[in-house]
Amino acid sequence: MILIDNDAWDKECLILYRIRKHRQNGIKVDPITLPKIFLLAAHPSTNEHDELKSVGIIDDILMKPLCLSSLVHSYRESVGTENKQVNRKKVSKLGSLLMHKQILVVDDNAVNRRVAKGFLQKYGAKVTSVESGMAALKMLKLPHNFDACFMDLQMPEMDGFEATRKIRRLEREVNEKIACGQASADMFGNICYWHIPILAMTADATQSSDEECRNCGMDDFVTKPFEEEQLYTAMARFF
Amino acid sequence: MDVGQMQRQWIDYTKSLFLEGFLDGQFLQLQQLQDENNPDFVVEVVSLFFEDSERLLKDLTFALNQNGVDFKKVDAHVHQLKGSSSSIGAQRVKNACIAFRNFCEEQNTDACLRCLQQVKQEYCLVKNKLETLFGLEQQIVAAGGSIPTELSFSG
Repeated sequence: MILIDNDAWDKECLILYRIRKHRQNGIKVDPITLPKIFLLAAHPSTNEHDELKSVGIIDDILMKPLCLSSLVHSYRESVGTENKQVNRKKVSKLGSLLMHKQILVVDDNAVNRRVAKGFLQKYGAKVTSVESGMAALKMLKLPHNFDACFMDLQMPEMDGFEATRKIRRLEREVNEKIACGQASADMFGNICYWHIPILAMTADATQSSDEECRNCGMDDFVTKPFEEEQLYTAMARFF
Repeated sequence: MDVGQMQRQWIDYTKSLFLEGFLDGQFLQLQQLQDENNPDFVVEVVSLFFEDSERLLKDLTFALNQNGVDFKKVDAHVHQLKGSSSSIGAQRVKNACIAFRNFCEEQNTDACLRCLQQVKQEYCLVKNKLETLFGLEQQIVAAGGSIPTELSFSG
């Protein structure tokens, strides 16, 4: 939420110009995701105010002195309380979490890999998929650019638990080196603490216990095939 | 047949596949993932499924016809098939795999062989149905129409 005094608005300063430009460009974007902008005025709405509001540059005008109930009322109105907004909000929510994120999908099944990739790409993520624990280790050699990893549990040769244990060991070694000064963070992409979110992909919730997943270093699990809401809840912790 | 009739035929055929349990909601998900960036997504994924399944069914037939059946291996193959059928929404194949895995646990060769037959049957049926569906889609596109994106189940 942004609150701007009417007097400040009228003075052409760089920040206000940028906000207006951003809003004008953002008109075509889902308004749910934009911050709400309220103008604080000492006098009731003028024609100019109405124009700004109808074009969508500001969400509403509030009277000074500001009182809590009118702020709450205007904010609720701008966010929209109709039911039909709900699904759009959910899609934007997951999209705003995953947009431009680099995600690694590890699954030995080609069909599952393709479907997971298609799903995540729909929300704007950049997806790399590999078919084994060994391949995942290669991808996650430090430093890397991945923001999260989805790990299948049952894979031949090296299963998801073992792969995760190995990844956490690699991270621990680097983190310790950096902490004690043996290595400097700029050797590792300027990150001094490495911990990639790893989410297990399970065919069903009973397949393996939560405890087992956490013991080997996983952060959470999701069922496959992916489901928007569940994915959002899981990913919201990290992004 | 004009494009409108073809599209209605496609809608009716797709609906029947859901009503008869061949496909479930996951298939709808796949259709929703298809867009300008991924225009052939559904056909691509289903083709992968056909390839993958045929290989697995061959491996299963081989494994179950050995003198000493390695049930761990059999189970691993069925697990794969269950996973991929679930990913594309091939519900009846998936359910047949679930039953199959129970018999793997019991190490019951005869029951497993029966399950294999069942899975093969369901696979052939859904393969047939999907190929028919894609054929209808090709006809619509060839006639200059587009595949419907809305399936209402009210009518």
